Order: sequence, then C-alpha cells, then structure tokens
Amino acid sequence: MTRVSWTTVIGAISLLIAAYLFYHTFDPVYDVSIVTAGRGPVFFPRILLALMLVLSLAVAIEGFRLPHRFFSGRTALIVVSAVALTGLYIAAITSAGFLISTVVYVFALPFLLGYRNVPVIGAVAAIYPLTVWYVFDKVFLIILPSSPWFDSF
Amino acid sequence: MVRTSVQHAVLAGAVALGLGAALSVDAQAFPEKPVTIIVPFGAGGGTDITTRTLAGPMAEALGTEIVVKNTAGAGGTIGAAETARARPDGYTVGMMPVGPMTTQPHLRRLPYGPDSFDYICLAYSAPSSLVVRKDSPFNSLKDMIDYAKANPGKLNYGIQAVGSIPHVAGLGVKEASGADFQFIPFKGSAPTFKAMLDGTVDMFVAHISFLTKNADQVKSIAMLMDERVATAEDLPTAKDQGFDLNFPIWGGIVAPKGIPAEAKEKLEAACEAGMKSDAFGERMSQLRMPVTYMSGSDFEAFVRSEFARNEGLLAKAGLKKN
Amino acid sequence: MDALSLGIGHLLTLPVLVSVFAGTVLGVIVGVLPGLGSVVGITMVLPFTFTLGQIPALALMLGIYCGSVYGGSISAIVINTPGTPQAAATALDGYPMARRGEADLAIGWTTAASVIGGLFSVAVLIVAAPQLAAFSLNFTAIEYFALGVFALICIANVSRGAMLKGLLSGVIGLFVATVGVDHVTGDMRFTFDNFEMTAGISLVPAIVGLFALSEVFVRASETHVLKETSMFRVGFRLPPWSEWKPRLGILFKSCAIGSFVGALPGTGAATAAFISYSEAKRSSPRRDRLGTGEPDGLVAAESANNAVTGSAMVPTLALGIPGDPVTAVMLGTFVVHGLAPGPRLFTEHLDLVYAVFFILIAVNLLMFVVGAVGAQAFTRVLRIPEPILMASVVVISLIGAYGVRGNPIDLIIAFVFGVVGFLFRKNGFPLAPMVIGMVLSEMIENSLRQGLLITRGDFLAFFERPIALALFVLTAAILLWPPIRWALDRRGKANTKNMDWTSE
Repeated sequence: MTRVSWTTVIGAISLLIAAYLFYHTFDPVYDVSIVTAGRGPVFFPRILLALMLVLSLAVAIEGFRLPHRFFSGRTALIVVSAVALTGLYIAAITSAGFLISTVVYVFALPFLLGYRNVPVIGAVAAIYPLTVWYVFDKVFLIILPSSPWFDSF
Repeated sequence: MVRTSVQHAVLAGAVALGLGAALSVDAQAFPEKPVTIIVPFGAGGGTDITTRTLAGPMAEALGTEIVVKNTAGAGGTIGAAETARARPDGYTVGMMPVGPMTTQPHLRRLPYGPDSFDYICLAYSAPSSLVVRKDSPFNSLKDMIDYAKANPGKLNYGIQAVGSIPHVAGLGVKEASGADFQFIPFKGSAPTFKAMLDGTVDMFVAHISFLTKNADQVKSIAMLMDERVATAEDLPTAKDQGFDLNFPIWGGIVAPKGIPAEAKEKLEAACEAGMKSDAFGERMSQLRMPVTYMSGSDFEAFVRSEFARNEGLLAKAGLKKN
Repeated sequence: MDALSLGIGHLLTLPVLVSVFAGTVLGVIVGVLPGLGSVVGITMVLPFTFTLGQIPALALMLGIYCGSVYGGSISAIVINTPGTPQAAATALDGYPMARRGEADLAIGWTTAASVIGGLFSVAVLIVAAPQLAAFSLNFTAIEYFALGVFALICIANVSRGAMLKGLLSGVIGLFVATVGVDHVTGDMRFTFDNFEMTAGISLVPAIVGLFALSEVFVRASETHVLKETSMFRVGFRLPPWSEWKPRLGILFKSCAIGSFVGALPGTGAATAAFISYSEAKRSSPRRDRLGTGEPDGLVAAESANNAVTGSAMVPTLALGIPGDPVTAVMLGTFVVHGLAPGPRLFTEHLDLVYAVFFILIAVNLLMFVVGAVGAQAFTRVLRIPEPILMASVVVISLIGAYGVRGNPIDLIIAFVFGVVGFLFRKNGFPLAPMVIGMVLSEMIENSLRQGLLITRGDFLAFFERPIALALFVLTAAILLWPPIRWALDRRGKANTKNMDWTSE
C-alpha cells in the first residue's frame, strides 16, 4: 500500500464521484424537461458539482501534507466487522423483519465490541428488542417491517 | 428504563398472544387482523386527516382495527407503489388521491398504473376553486382573462406541485381562455399561499376547505365544477361563467390487484358505512366538503376517465413523458 | 381586560392543564428518541385532537411541539445523536461536554437556554405578532434566496480550523439534498432509474447515519480507550449566575435570531440554531473553544431553536400560513371549531390568542421541570456499558430513520451516511457543514429559481429589492471583514493576532 493519507483518499473518491455526476448532468434525460426561465433541473446541481470538483481536488492535495495513519490490524478488523454487521442487520430488517434481526444484532454487536458478559447481553437481547418493537409497532403505531414467516412480526 | 414485573408480565402476555395469532393462520373469515391503510403523504396533511377521520367509523363497520401508515415521498408515488405491490390479501390498502393516480403516471415512468389496483371506493371529492387575494381587483374569471389578455406575461399563477391537479387545472384555464400567465411552482400549499399574500403570485387553485379556512384573506373567482355544490351554493362555477372546467380534488381506497372477492366486498361495505357515519359527515361539513361516495366499480370508471383526460392536458403542455 | 382573563380561564381548566402536561412529556420523549420528532408526536395524538375540545387539543399539540424541539438536545448531548434535526448544532458542544463527564451541566445549560428562548419568543408573539406577520410578507422568494446565501456563511464559520474539508462537506450536503424530485420542473434527478431513490435523500436518515451509526463505528475503532462509566455525572446541574453573566449577550442575540427566523414560514428551527451557533462562533470572546464543549454553543443553539416555537405561531395565527406540518395540524383544529386564522382572529377571538400565549408559557415552564426530572434518567444512560448502549442506539435510531417515511431505502441511506460519517470524523472533516448544507439546499435552490421566474430570468433584478440587497451586502461584509481586518492589522503593526479565517 502506498503511503497516502486517508484525507487524500477521501478527496480523490469525492473527486471521482463529482466528476462522474457532473458528466451525468449532460445526460439527454435532463434535456427533455420543460425548462423554466432557462434553468433546468441540473442548473443548480451543476454549480454544486463544479464546486465539489474544485474542493475535492484541494482537499486531496492538502492531504499530501498529512502523514499516513492507519488503524492497527485488530482495530481495523473490529471496525470492518461492526460496519459489516450493521449493514447485514439493515438488510435483514427488511427481509427477516425487525424483531428477529434486532434480537440477533443486539446480541452480536456488544460481543463484537469486546463485551463478554453473556448473561447481561442475553437479557438485553431478549428484553430490549421486544420492548422497542412493542412500543413502536403496537403503541405508537409506527409499523415496522415484519418477517415473511409470522403474521404479527 | 424502569419496568415493573407487572409490566413485564403484560408484555409477555402480549407476545404470547401475538405468537398465538401468528400460528393460527388459516381460512377464517376476513378480517381476522388489523387492516393497514397506506397514505402516500405525510402525517397531518389533508389526505392524512381525511383518512384518519374515516378510519374510525370504517373500522367499526369492518369489525377490526385500522392502522394508518404514512409512506410519503415523490408526490405520493412511493406510497402508491407500495400499495400496488403489497400482498393482495385485503389487509393492505391505500388511500390514493388524484395526483399519484392520474397525473404522476404521465410525468414519469412508475412501477404502477390504473391496472395495478382493485378499486374499493371513492372516499372524498371536493371541488377546487381558482382563488385570488381578497383585495384583488378580479371578481370573476372574465376580469382575470381580460387583464391577462391586455397585459400578456404579467400575471403569475402559483402551483403547489408540478403536475398536480392545481397545475393541470391551470393548464385547463390557460387552454380554455387563451390567457397568458407564468406558472411559478412552490412546494406545497402553505408556501403558495404565502406567495399570494406577499404579492408574488396573483392566483392559484385550491381545495374548497382552503377557501373555508382563509375566508378572511382570499376569495374564489370560479369554482372549477360543473355544478354548484351544496356546501358552497353562493359561489359561481366556471360553467356559470361559460367555461367548461371541472377539476375535483379526490381520493379513494384502492387495494393491490387481485384481492379475494370476499375481502373486497367487506371493505367496500365498510367504506360506505364509514362515510355515511355521523362522525365522518360532521367533520366533512366543518370543512365545507361534500360527502361523495362511489362504489368500487364506479370509482374505477371515474379514475380511468380522469386518467385519460389529464393525460391529454399534460401532453398538450409538453409535460408528458414516456 | 376581558380577553386576558378569558385567556387565563382557558388555561386553568383541568383538561387543558392535563393536556399541557401530557403534551410536554410526550414531546420531550419523541424529541429524545433519535429520528422521531414533532411530526411523529403530533401524528400519534391526532386521533385525540378530534375528540378533545379545541383548547385542550391546542395545548396538547403546543406541548408536543415545544417539548420535542427541546428534547432533541438531550440525545445530542448524551449520545451525540441529535434527537431531531433542530438539535444538530447542540451536539457540537453538548457531546464533548458530556464526554468530559459533565452531561448534567450540559443539560442544565440547554434546559435553561431552551426555556428562556421559548419564553422570549412568546413575549415576541404577544407584543408584535401582527407587525411581525406583516413584515414576513416582505420576504418573497428573492429575500429567501438572500437569506439562504447569508445562512451559508454558517458553513464557513463552523469549519474554522479545517476550512477546505468543511467547505467540501458543506457542498456535499448541498448536493445530496438535490437528489430526487426537482420541485420546479417535476423531474427526477440523480436517481439512476431506481424508483425508491425518487423519494430523495431526506435529512433524518442522513443525520441518524452521520451521528448515531458513525458513533458506533468510531467507538469500535477506539475500544482500547474504554471509559470507566462511573466518571459520568448523573443528574441535573444548573450553571451558576457567574457563568451566565458573560453569556447574556449571546443568549439574547440568539433568542432574537430564533424569533426572527421562526416568523418566516418554511425556514425552521434547524436553520435558526445554525445561524445563531455560527454567529456565536464568529463573535463570541470564547470562540476558539466552541466545538470543544463550550457553553456558548449550547446557549446559542438551544435558545434559538426554541425561540422558533413561539414565533412560528405568528404566521400560523396571523396569516393562516403554517411553516411546517406541526403548525399545519394546529391550524386544522382551529378550522374544525369554525375559526378562521388570519388578521381577524386577533380582533374577534383575542381570548383564544391569549390562551395560546398562556399555554405556551405554561409549556415552557413545565419543560424546565420535565428536563430537570428527566435528566436524572437520561444521564443515567451514560452508565450503561458502552457496547450495549451502542447497540441500543443503533436500533432506536434506525426506527427513527425508517418511521418518518416508512420507506426502507431510508435505512440504506442511514447506513451509507454512517460509513461516510465515520471516515469523515476519523480524518478531521467536520460533519456540521454537511447538515447545514442539507438543511439549506432546497430553500436556496427553489427560491433562486422561483425568483428567476418572478423576474423572468433577470438575476440583476434581485439586487433591486432592498431587503435582499441588505442581506447580500451583509453576507459580503461578514465574509470580507476578516481578511480586511487581517490586512489592516498587519499593516498597522506586526501584530501576531490569530487569523481565524484561514485553515491552520
């Protein structure tokens, strides 16, 4: 791995995204719309994307002065796992329902973050999701995604 | 959080009940669990409040709970699409207003259309009105049209959302009268109203309940209806003034295509009973809105004719895509 | 006067007092829960408002409204997750203060500032509602554009110390808010034929991701510095008068900013909080400490956002223009009882207007009690073992992200913003500018394009309007003053004064 700082990496990613989106604003799909007072739907975004291009470049350059700093292997592993676990959880909410996926997540995340008191985690994972689900889905009537297997949750 | 053991017991009981209900899914009579009505706009808006008003008496007639769920976004199309692709079992229906049903599908590609639904009932249909400020010199459509013709490009016409009924109605007025005015789009009715009070726009089309609420500050120059409505006998219609402009703002209950016949019948009956209840009628009259019921089949025919009419107007204005 | 005693009479009935209490408590609770805010709270009580009498219904809703704006600050302080977008600016100093172990004091500052802000705006409402309403009608799209541009200074102000990164973060915020429907032409932008994306990227899921989810990832990267939970003080502590005295100027300036912004329909408490936070960052003698747990930030943000609540009633009552869904529902209850809001309300139903005043005063006073009592429980949250707290925060804030619109894409949006927020925080990119950008984007773009339609495409005509011109000049002056002062200083003497406008 080369020794560039994360600031440069973020600047570069932002630069690429801005460049692509700027190019995208010339897509014919935005031409056919009714243009009002000469300003179509991409008039304002184009200004912003131009600014974003310049600022991304500046940030990327600024980042060259910064040292490369990376997490140790173990910390990186924990962070990546926490991100992956949360991503899976979010995917699971819509496919396996809120209640089931939340029980699993509330059990798994503290464990991953280094908390090993299993009875406490178990109790929390059993009570907390149920309470939250009950309060929102049944009392506040904010309907949460349900699983395909059961009728009510 | 502090919880007593009694609360725990109640909770556990509730969960056990839930499980019990979950495991006993078999062919019982509809409805055996709460029905959800999707409202494609945010809580607290006109569609939402009408739905919640109807939900109470309708639930009573249906013999189950009715839950109102707001899925807002993209001019109501997100909620409409959610209704269209819900499980067609009668437990998920949607309160779909005129916009997402008959104008939005012409403006862009959407994953639903009039064929995606079974039609339960029309729940409300209120006349719209072309309103101006109370101190405006215009007192009739003719005043406005004469002025617009004498001063081309001077008048501003506010619209609450591009492709909405007030917009389509404006296109209709423009076409029928040949008057020229500039459309200025806002986001929702409150900013449009403000723009009229601060002088930015000269007129816009609003729902009759808006007229009721703001009688101090606005007046109607034409009700965009063929016939005078009982709740606003005093206000001249566009037809009275020689223009054929009929733009009701309506909404009705639809279900995903293919729900069981029994569920459809029961929902239809419950909707009718709910709309004829005193509670619903009282609230509608407070807003000077007529109670207008249509059965499922009438509603379907109505939606299809509105769909075709609005397609024509949007196409003429160059707004229609796909 | 008769109307005055009638107004008090309206308040001092059992149903109204119960509604004030229930509304305020419920409001604080939905405010505290990340993602849920005033609108969700109002929706929950909507069925009751139909059956309650008019005054109790209003009391219930005003309680929820004020309570939720205040409640958002508590989660901003305790878990670095603004409970509502209005409280985003509060997290900037509240959370660092809590990490120092002084959550009790931070809640003391915000509670007091909120109550003072709220009461200040009630006073404004009482004294000048009709005049303020008339003034707000001088703000057309063009003035809104000028105000939006002025508010953009906030991005630069909160980015001090990391100017380039802050500006980039701000522009990204401005841009992501444009995804979805273009309200001027009705076109879809940057949705790449994904239907779910047509609903756009809304603020609540973005904030849930940027603050709550990223916090979890940040803590995951710092597991080696697990804090001893007993260091967090529990309870409620009011700052002494000696601490208040030097901050009175900021307090009243922020109250005034909040009251002014609130009277303009459609701008909102988040904008007010950021403008006054940024003003504190520009002019406070303690500006160098802002962002590190300085009470100035809490005072500025919280007095301003709560000052919006009272003055938001100005256009609602005096013109019948609701500034947000909450005031829109309140308007509805007036109509149900056959009352038309508007100028005549103040002449014909003055007792009702007074009732609103007294209810607002009662709500604000009660908020103080709820805050002081609730702080005992809320600060105790910090004593929960961190890994378990983090899991709970993720769960509850994702419900908030989902519950607002019920659209599953909002969960994915929250996740993406969570990752972005993590990378940004770890590398010194400030997050506040992104939130400010998202808050302001729509107002700036729409008002710019509406203004161009009004002037038939002539941008120069924007400068012919006095208020807009004044705002443009003020914007330019604030942006240009630091470099000018710096140049003057340098010419005067070789003064090594800190030049606070550039990045370090």
